[in-house]
Amino acid sequence: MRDKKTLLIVTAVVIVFLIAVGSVVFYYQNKEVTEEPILSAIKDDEADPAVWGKYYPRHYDSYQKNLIVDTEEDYSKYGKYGGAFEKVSHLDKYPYMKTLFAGYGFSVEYNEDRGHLYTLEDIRNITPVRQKAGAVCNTCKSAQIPSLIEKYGEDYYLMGFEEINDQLKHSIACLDCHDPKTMELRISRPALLEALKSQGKDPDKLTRQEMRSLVCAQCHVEYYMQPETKKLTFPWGKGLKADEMLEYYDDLNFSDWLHPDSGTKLIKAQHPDYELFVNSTHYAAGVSCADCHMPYVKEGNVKITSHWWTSPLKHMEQSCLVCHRESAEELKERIFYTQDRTYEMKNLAGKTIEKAIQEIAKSAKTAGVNEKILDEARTLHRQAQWYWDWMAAENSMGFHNPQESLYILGKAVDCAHKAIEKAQEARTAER
Amino acid sequence: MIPKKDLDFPKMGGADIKNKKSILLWDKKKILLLLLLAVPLLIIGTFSLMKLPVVSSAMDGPGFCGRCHVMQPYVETYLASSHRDAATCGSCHVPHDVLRGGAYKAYTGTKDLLAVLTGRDEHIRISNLGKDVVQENCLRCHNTLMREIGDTRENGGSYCFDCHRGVPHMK
Repeated sequence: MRDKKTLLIVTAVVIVFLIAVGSVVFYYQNKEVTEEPILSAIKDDEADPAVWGKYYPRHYDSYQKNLIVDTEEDYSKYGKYGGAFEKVSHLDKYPYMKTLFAGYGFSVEYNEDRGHLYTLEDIRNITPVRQKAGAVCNTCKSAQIPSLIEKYGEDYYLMGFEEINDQLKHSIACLDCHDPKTMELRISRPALLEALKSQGKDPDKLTRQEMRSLVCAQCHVEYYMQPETKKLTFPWGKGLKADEMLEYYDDLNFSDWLHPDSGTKLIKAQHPDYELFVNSTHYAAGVSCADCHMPYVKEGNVKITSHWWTSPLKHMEQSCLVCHRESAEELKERIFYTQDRTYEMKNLAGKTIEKAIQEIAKSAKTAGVNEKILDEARTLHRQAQWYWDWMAAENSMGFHNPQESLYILGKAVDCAHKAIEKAQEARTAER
Repeated sequence: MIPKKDLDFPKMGGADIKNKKSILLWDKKKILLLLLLAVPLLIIGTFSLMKLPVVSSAMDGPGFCGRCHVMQPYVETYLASSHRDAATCGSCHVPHDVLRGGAYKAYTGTKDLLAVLTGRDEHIRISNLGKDVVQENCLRCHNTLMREIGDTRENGGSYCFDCHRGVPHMK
């Protein structure tokens, strides 16, 4: 029986040893300590950022920076294009836009955007011509919208501009992108959820890195309103590229307005920031919108995600230099190289389209014009202006995807020249 | 009670043979049991040795890891970084705890040795397992700084070094 005793002792020693090893392992498993605020205290539909700010004071501080309004002199220290200005008119800067947008609200008032905290103030001050589309204009202007869409259902889209706007108190805020229960990123706008599903993607199975771009893609995308229901929809059925969207719209025979001078059925493009970024070299390298626009910044002894949505040119140290080894000056020069060329091509395309409109208008007034050839000119005008507007409405002046930008603007110039040729041909050709 | 029983045994008639048999049977069991305990213990012990003070420091750091030519660019750039004062190779590339650390070091060390010996070491690329190890170690030291953000890798996010590409040595 002495052996039994030995066995007992051996077993005891082994158990003690295992416990000891276990405790050592446990002791050294000192993984990151995360600050856990009282999440349940924020209500499911809490649109007021100040309430969230009580639990996330550092994030709220950086969010408040969105109130900074640039003066042109200030901004020139950082960048050449874009900026958060108070009522800087695109129409004054680019006079040809008045011709291009004739017959449409954008020819009356079209300003440089001013940041996410001014969405409600700015939309209320815009010309009533631009508010004609109705409730849908408010969709990306307030964190209260998702609960209003839930309340009214599909009827929301058919409601009047003021019917919804009068109920809004808070601009873009925390609730737009975060789940108050878990703080995880979430998609709150139905249009993106539907667009993702139409592409065969499961919105519940998106990775954190994908979400860091897709929360922006809820609004920073091209969209349209379905003719009957006015339902806000993304034209992603054929793909995310400018050509693919044009094909999609052509198939639907969709147009936003009829140009009064040229008689062309035109489409207005809306800031396709996300779509241009997809397929860029940065996107291919796995970079998300947030990596540049919302970099991790040090606040005292802790890093937080910056919630100041602005040009990364204002904080290149955190946005660019984390990955790139070159100096900020060198990189900025590279960025301006892209932007200067895009800017030149954008204006070249715009002015060529202005000429196309004048030529088509002239032909339309000419007695005995060949209508068939003139219609071909109009189709080319529709294409040219679509391509141009894709890049004109986009917010990075080409930087989100330099190659694609010049490709699209090249298409715009080509289509505009062909439109001019066709319009002239229509006047001289036999009927 | 027990000693008395012990004494009782030999007195019983014919018990000797039975007892011998039972001892033999019991011995087999014992050996099996001991083996079951000893083998894992031996393995664990050997692995843990990798993380014990003298062995651990002797088999780590630029002097050990940098001994192969193939490691030189990484060691040289590491020696020029600020991490030089705070961390050695294994601080980032081996799990910190004794058990997993020992096992991983034994595994990856053998793998690297075989790669060098067979000349398949031209392009050093970190493995997926290795990435997770490094990520854990980034956060082990920088946890206070990252307490708000947490693990950037969670739910298909990026590794720290996806952006901080040159830290602490060239890729």
